Amino acid sequence: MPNESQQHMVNVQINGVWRQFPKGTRLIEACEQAGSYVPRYCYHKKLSSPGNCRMCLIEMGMPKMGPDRKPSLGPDGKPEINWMPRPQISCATDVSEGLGVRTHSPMVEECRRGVMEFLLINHPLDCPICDQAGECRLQEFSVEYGRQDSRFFENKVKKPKNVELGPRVTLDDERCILCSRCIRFSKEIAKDDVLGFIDRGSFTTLTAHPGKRLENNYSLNTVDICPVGALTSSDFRFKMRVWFLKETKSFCTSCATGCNTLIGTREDVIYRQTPRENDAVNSCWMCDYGRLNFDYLQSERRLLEPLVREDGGLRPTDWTHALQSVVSLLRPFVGWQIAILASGRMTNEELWLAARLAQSLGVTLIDIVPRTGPGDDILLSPDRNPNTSGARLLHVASESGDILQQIKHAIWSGQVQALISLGENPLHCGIGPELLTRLPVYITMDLLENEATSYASAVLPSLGFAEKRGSIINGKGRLQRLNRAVRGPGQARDDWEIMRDLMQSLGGGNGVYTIEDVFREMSAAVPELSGLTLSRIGDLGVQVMNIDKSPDAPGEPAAEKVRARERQEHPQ
Amino acid sequence: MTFLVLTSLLKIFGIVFLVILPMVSYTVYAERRVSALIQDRLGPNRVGPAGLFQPIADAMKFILKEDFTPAHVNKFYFWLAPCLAMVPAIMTIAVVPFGSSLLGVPMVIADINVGVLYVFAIASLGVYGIVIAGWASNSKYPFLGGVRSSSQMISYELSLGLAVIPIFLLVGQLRLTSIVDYQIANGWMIAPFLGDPTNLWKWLLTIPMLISFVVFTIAIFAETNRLPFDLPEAETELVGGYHTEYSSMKFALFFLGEYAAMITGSAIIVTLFLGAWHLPIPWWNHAHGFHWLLISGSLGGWLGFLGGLFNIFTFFAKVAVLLLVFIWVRWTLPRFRYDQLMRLGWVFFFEIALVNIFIAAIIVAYMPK
Amino acid sequence: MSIVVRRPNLSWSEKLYLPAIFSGMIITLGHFMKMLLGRTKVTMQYPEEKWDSHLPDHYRGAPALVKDERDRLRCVACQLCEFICPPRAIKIVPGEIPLGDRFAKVEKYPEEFDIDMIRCIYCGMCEEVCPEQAIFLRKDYAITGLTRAEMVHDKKKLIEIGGVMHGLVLKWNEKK
Repeated sequence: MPNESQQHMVNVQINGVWRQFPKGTRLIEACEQAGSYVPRYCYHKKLSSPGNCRMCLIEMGMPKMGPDRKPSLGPDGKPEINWMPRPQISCATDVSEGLGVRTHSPMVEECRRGVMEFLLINHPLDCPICDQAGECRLQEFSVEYGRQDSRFFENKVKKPKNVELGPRVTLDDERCILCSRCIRFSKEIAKDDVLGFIDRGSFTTLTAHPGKRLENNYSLNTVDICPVGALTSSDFRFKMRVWFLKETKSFCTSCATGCNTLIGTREDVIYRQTPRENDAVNSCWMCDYGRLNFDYLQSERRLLEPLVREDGGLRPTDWTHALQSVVSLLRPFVGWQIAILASGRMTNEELWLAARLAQSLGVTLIDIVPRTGPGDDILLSPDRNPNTSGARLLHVASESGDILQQIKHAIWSGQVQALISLGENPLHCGIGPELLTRLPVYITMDLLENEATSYASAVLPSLGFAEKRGSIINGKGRLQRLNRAVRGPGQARDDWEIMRDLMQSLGGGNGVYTIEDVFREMSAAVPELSGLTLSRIGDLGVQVMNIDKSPDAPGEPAAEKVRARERQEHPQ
Repeated sequence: MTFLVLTSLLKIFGIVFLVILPMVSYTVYAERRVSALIQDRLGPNRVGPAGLFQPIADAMKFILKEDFTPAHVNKFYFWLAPCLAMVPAIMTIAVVPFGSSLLGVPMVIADINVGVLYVFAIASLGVYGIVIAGWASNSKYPFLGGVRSSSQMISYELSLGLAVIPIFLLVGQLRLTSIVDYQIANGWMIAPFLGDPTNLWKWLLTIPMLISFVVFTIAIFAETNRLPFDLPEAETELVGGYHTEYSSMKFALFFLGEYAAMITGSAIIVTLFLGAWHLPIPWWNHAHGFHWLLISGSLGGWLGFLGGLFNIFTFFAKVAVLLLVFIWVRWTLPRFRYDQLMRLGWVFFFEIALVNIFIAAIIVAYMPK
Repeated sequence: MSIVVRRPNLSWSEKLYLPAIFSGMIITLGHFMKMLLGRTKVTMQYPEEKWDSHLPDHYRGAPALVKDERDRLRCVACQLCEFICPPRAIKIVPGEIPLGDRFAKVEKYPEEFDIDMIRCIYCGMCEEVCPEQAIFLRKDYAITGLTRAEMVHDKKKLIEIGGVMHGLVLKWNEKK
């Protein structure tokens, strides 16, 4: 849009270099884009700017006006700048024509040193036990602008510590530097105004409003945006120091939104999930439900080795034997005697192989199990299957779920003799124990041991979302990629490998060796995916379908709305 | 006849299992202790009092180690070589008179009239153990070690053989017991003047005899692959030389063979030059005035038995002193370069030994009987 | 520029090498006799003689966790030693001190603290990096064991080696 950009561009001089920025850009953002990061505590690009931390002070100047009320030009033909004698905060100022900024002048550095010293007066020396240590803004800027010693010999102000703000958030008020990010997040994004400051001066304390708790489904985002260790996640608290964590780019599979995440792991143990910025999906946020929904991967109930029913009981075995027995169990049946219960949690690759498996067996009764829950208009989608769109695209899922009903009837009537469930529990979709006991063959591929696995003729342990690669299409039609963060436990194998081996054992030999091969096969057959490879999806995903069902990301638009409201409230 | 066989068997078992093998293991111990003392260390002092049981521990270790035969070797010769290294060293001792007599039995296993020739013949076989080990190992370092060994042996056997000719010129016999008898009667070969200090000819004879002794001793060093002539196993150049591929008991046989050869070599030197079991003791009595007392097993009764034992002890004490010299030299002198070794053998010792024969021959020819 | 090293011109007696050989043998004999007569100073005979009484102050032996005068295990499980440890010998599982505890205000403590003494290289980085003066290298040097598991010092063993340390900064006491 060259026309538009020409219209809205303004010239700004940053550290002596003239650059162009769209009108309305925050000065702090403009400086960052120009390569000189301005330290900040209270400013967050998705929130309003109260300008209360004073860390982002810069030296600013306006064009010098000549007697003709026009900017007087210097020898280089650019406007001369009239530098203001006092520093300004860069987070509450938008760029304007001819603006000049110095981000590293002696005055600016002196201001930052002063602000740092004030912030550290009452900040406890808790770093050895503080969970934020390692990703703490206060630590980082202390290195750059802090003093080695303290000139403050008086007693530090005592404030409440270890306060349970809500079920998932613990507050240490002594560490709080009063940036108010959490307050603004609760008000503006979570729409749950529970936090605020009480008392004055050094005694200002962050707390929840009387009788209220920070218990909304987005409370843990306050922990992410807290620049210090004041707000900590009760789940992650004291579990692991952050510098040990290997962060793998992934996304949440707990609902159809597919919020982008970083999975923090160490030595094959997942310690936390944090949201990763993706303005097309989740902005900078994610819900607590999705964030904490990884414990099951480290559950005691994980299936660790393939089981086969022998002599009336399920016996552990090796994969070769397990796959052989599955094949011999399925051999006696023809297509209409078999039903496949696929899952909306499977990746596209797995769904594609499931469809191929159904095809080679001649199965027509294949459907996914719908999974719904209450949604909200922030991020959480009522569709709790992450890949319903993919299942529909690959024709595994029926539009209205009528095939699932047919499967139930077919099992009830005795037409279906063999049921293959891929990551789903039939007991949860109306196929009760009495039906399962009547089935001669019930094969299940799952992560966890549950009531249904005890009825199985063969159990094939597979991998969870953090343990495998694959692609998923979210509720808005965005294709995103899972990356492997940890290795699977025991002998559990990648789902697509299990299905590939099953197909090969059933006679449908093919040359699929890697998950890239599966994706290539799939993209050749599905027009929506044509031209894509697994690596070409990228970290932020690709829009492949146009579905408009799940809520908008509370990103820029929401922030824009907030800003508009601010302008109305405080006209400048 | 039965008596002869029985006593011979007794002597063989006695000398091999009661003398040579313990002596070999304790020479190894002495080597380690002496080298340590020379280098301002203490050496093995943990096993038993002052580390005296160290050889037993070493033997246990060698026996218990895995007997590994590499896949790339010539199996038959690989197994044969260690035996060939040990056997000649022990066989040589058969003709060496290690004492006078005990209860009327001469203290020599086989008193044959070609004694010295037998020694050379058998000692030369020792090189086969090394050459076969080098070849059968089918590996470059052992091979180089084997080649070096064979050429070294050939070079030094010449001077070895030539160095003893003056003795035979003097004695006129090859039988080792005769040489011992001659020394008892006419003074040790290294110092022929001792038999008759007033005879100037004997003093003159000392010169070729000393030269013979030095050349012979150095040649024995070379024959036994001792430093400064240990080129076949030169660790710094050839890893382990001919025994690089050997381990466990097979390696131990090479190791013991080397020390057994040292003992045999010392025994030969003692027999040829140092009066064998003879130790004259200064004595004085009224009948004869001052004279040298000869202790030997031919005396009657208890005295004879004790004398015989004393002779055996004297012999092995002399051997032990020579062994200490072997060890002392090893921890003092560095190894020769190969060309230096060859030059020394062919250009110096061969000529010196040759000229020495003529000098000795002239002296013997003109010396009044 | 090349340096020409001239070979020394040897005299007749030097060319014979015999004097050099004999003087060499005298030297070795001298060493031998001095050792035999016990005039040479030799290595300490370790298991019988020990150095313990005169270990220098800076000796770096086994790392250990110390307690202070108030019987508090000083470690707060910050895991900096685990991070800095070059051979990765340290493994810590942090835990939260329960509210009723005497030292609840410290909040964090090591639930498990293992140092694999097979891996430990006694570098002392853990002691240097520790912000709490909790881990010190003591003078224990004979760390032995018959199994690998035995060579892993757990928290109990580390406290046993560490003992009580006096004169440390008691910063947590100032907390409310």
